[in-house]
Amino acid sequence: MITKRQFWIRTIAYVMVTVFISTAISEEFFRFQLGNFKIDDMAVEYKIGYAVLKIGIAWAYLRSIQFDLLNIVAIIILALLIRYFAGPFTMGIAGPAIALYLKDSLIHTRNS
Amino acid sequence: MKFLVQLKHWRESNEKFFTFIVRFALAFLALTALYEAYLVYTTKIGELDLITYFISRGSFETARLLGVADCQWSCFYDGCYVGREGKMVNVLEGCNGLRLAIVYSAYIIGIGGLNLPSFLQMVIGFFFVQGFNVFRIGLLIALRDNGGDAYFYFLKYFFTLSIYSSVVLLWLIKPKLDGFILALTQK
Repeated sequence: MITKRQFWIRTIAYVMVTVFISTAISEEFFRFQLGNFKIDDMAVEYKIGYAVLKIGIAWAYLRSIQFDLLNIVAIIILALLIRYFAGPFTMGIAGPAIALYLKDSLIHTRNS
Repeated sequence: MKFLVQLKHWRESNEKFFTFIVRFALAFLALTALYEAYLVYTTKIGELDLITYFISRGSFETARLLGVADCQWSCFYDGCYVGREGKMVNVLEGCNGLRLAIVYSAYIIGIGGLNLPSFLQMVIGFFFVQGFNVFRIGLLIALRDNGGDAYFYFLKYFFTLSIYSSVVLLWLIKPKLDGFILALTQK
């Protein structure tokens, strides 16, 4: 079990790393004329590669905070739903991860 | 079959998280549908959405406060242009930060359900995110006006990160915000 401090450091690092990677990739694609500057306008094969990379980083982050397979899959599906409707994938990973990590002290239900 | 059993077991042992996921997804879909319907409506009548309009106006005022002389502001149905003539920044619907505010609102509903404290947190979150947004666009306009590499590096590496930071900060201060709202609603 990781400490709260480790959890928050890893979450902030995950957000920073993914934003940096997105910027660097779009920059490189533009520089080498492999597609448009905007990631949404990239060719399909590059877009798939980019999506796999982002999911891979999210997977590594969720593993690093010691979530099990089903929880990881649930969070990634939720983040993909958010991304499908033009929302931010990174926040779609980090938000539910925070909710799951702090669930007993954070989530209110009728029984709690 | 084994997978279904595993899934049932997961649901039972993660009841709270499962409730969060369902509420989060439903709230996100409902809020996104509302916003998309509003965007369809503004496109139909040929007008710019009000969020982008007010964000660009706020950025214009921020840029003036940051010392951009002769700052201009003009809006069209597809976005606004803010800054000095020849160095204008294009503020589009994608820059208005509302989709991030929707994710934050869905998170709040996912955690606390639909009630007054959640609603107050959503309102506070919305203004907090938009405050960051207005400041980052205003700063971008000022950096563009000043010229040099700072504009390029800010746009590439800090522009997106700054608005994401606002949501991470909201998540971090949520326990304090909970206490404040609880005290407010019990008065």
